[in-house]
Amino acid sequence: MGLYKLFSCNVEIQYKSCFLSKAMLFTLITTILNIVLPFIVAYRSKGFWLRTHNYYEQPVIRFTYEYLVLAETDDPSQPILCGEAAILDEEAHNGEENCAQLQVQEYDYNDDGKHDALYFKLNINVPSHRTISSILLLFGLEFQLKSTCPLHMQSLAVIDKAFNVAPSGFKMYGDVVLYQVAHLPCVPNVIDTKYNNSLLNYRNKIGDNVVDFILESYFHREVTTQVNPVYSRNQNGHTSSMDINIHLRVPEMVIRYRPSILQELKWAWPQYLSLVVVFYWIFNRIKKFVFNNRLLMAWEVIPWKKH
Amino acid sequence: MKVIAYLAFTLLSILIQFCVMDLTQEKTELDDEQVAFNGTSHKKKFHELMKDFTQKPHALYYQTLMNNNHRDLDFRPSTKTFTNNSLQRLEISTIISSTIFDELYDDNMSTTEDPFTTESLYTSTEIDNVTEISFFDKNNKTVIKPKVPKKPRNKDCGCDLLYNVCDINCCCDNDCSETEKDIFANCKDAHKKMDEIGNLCYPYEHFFYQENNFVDNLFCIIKTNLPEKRGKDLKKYDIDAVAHSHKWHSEVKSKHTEFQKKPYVYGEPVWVLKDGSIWYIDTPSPTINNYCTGRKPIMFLKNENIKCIVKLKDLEMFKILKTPQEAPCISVTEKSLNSTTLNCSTLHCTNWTIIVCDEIKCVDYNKSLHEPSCTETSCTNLALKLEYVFYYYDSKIINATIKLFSQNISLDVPFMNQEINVRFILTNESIEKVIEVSGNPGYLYGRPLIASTAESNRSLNFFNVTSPHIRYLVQPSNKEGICTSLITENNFVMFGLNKRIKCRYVYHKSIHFQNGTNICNDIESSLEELFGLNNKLYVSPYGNPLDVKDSDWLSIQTNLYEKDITYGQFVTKNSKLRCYNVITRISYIITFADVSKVTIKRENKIVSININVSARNVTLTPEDMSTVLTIDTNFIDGTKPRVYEYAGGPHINIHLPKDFFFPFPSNGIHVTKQSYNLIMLCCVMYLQIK
Repeated sequence: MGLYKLFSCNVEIQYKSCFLSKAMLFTLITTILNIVLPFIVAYRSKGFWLRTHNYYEQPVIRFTYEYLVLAETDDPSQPILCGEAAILDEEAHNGEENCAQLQVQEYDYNDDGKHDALYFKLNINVPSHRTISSILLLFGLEFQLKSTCPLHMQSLAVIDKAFNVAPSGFKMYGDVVLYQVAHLPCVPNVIDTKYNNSLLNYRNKIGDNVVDFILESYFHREVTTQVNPVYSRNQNGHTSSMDINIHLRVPEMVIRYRPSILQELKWAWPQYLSLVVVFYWIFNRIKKFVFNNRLLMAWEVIPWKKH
Repeated sequence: MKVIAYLAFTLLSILIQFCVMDLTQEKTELDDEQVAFNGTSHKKKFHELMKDFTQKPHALYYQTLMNNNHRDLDFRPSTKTFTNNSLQRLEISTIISSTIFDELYDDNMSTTEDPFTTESLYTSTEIDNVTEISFFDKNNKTVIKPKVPKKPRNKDCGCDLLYNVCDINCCCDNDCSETEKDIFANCKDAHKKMDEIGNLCYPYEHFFYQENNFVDNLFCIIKTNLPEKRGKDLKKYDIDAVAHSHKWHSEVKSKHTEFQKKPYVYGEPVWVLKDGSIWYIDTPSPTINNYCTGRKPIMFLKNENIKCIVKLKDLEMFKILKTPQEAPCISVTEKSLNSTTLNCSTLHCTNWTIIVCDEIKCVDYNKSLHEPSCTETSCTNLALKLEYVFYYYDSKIINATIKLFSQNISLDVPFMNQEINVRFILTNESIEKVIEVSGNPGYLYGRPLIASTAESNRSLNFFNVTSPHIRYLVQPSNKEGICTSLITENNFVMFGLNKRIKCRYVYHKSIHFQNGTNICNDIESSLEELFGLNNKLYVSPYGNPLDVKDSDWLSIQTNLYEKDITYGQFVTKNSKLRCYNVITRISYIITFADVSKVTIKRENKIVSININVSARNVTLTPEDMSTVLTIDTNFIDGTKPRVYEYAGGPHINIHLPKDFFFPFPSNGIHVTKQSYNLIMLCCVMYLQIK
């Protein structure tokens, strides 16, 4: 009947020396190297500290019922302006009767409380003897992120289209996407409300041109929403009215943010630890070699030998 | 063996659990449905239905339900009336066939009453899936009369919208006769699944997100009897929904302030008195596009520069020439505060001064001289650029001037650019006598560079209104393609603006019967004059030259003297003049630095200014004595970065001698230096440890 190895344990052989000795110096150096070298290797091989991180979330997007629609005709003195902006003068509205109808629907298909699609249908009466040459639609949106980086902001869906020939209709299918020029600060448990103010509701008039002012102010934001057109189609024909259909989906969006210190450490720790293990093994072998062969002066304490 | 037995046992227990759950679930639903159910016993109904079965139902039948090879099963609703209150449930269940199965199954398992299944059978037309069960055979078919008596309105039929009229393609509409249903698209289709019918009856958007159910994907389960995942409580609604939802809101637009009898403050409209009532004056403004579509009031102390396009009929100058004479500009004074009447005796009235300016000088408007007039092709004395200047002094507007910059315009294009400036000056001095600095003390972006030609006392000369010397550095600009070098704001070198200007220089003198070199030298000297190189120029290092000493003014360094000598010769054949080494490009390179001691404020000081000229050979003909010039401006920020810079780590270049591995050729195996070192290190360590 054969014997099987069931368990084994090591016998500890201690090497002792006084504080001011070569062996102590050697041990100190190897210990320091064991701590520092893995850090240097991990750092120099790039990507040790997590500079950026991202996650996916479908935001809550709602139409704020603020809008500005500018349809330019071939005569620049007769534009059609629909909608409202607080900074618009009363007298500035001309041709408002041509904004026949704006219809808005918000759809939540999977019943999770977040709108999955927005639909805008706009009907414009074209003044006689005029043709629409371009349209600019600004829809106010409420944008909310709720999970990792809470954010509440009022953004815009800007849709711009110029027509080469007189249009009778325009259809667009697109996605509302988040566009960041900088990382979100992502402070835990603090809702970022830096941009939670409506541009269409801004009263202090700076520039002359309301539309330019809104677009410029929006352009200077660090976080904006854009309309990413997937398909669009214009229907030709000089008619007395124009239908504009905008279908916008709200997909999951990538949100870039600056990781917190804990997340940085959580990311760096495994990299460091995995290298420490390797270096520990190497230095242990070196130490074993040095002390076993008595290259440095130290007392050897063997448990079964009496001193 | 034990493991297999264990696994088998587990599977068996899961199976039993599923079966029992199925049963219990159905039972609980039955109990719920009892309340809404009215009338006849369902058990009875079900047994009636079951009578038509020729053989016992078996679960296996349902596995072949999707078989295309069906008999043309014509399922018709029985003449018996049944309540139909379970369509909603149908919509949720996966396939009708499974529901049927459960019901049959339940019945076999001696379940008591089941109103649910029977209802679902009759309210839907999708029963033809169940061919092999043969609920209704041909005999049964003959019993049913073609005309179905009017049934009560099906309350759960979402597509039944026309009252007492059959809706097209609505299979659950009781108003539809069987013949009508036969011609519909989907009621007869044997391959349609129940959920599709459901969609037909409840028309939602075609756009659905895929919901992944982990359990469904794992086991390919036809039906689950898990509780419905519906958090929405249908009976309750959110009372506060109105408060926290967005709605169409009232249109709020900015309103201009009404006239109040008090002295002017910033941002208030400038008032005029016309026909005994008070109005504000306004200017055109491009509210939404670049056309002067809107109008906005001139706000007190708010300088404006408005540019927009207009048609000839909408030109602002026509309005100005009509109105202001009889509408003086008013200021509320202390005297008028005490009186109740509003006229020029109580208010301070200022009549408008209209002056007409051309490129050189300004004169008072004279109707006979400056009246605009148009022919079909062009107009004269049109002012596309106007300037309102208000002098406010001693708490009242003491002078209101309108400057019309008149010019002649051809009517080739329907629109023209109109520019309106509004300026307020808190002085009684003329605007021409007000000297503007370009920053205090450092230069500000977009402000003109302060220059002087004076040999001494340059700072004093700058602030001296009567000084003949130039104040700002001027460079040629393009005016309708031609180089001009007039001392206007358009031609100033602006701080911080990098520019490249191209324009055509035209030499106006005759070139016949002259020496080629003389002409070329004359061209060269006129170019130097155009570029402002004929005078020694000094530039102020700061935007405010008040305390700048003469020695601190920077002299402009040029490389003009390094240029090769200009000479010319006629190419006699075609009488072309070829000038050699004529200046065609001038480049301003201005270096500045932020000398501020604090980080939050910039104080730009010009450190050096260089003008580099480039010459080239130019060929001129008597017909076209012109060449294109280039004027470049570059501002270079020489500020040292504020961040501390650390020296880089020492670079240690350690390498082994080339013949270290002499027997092995070093270029034999291509290894990178790093991996080479790594292998070496490993080898050494391995040997040592061993």
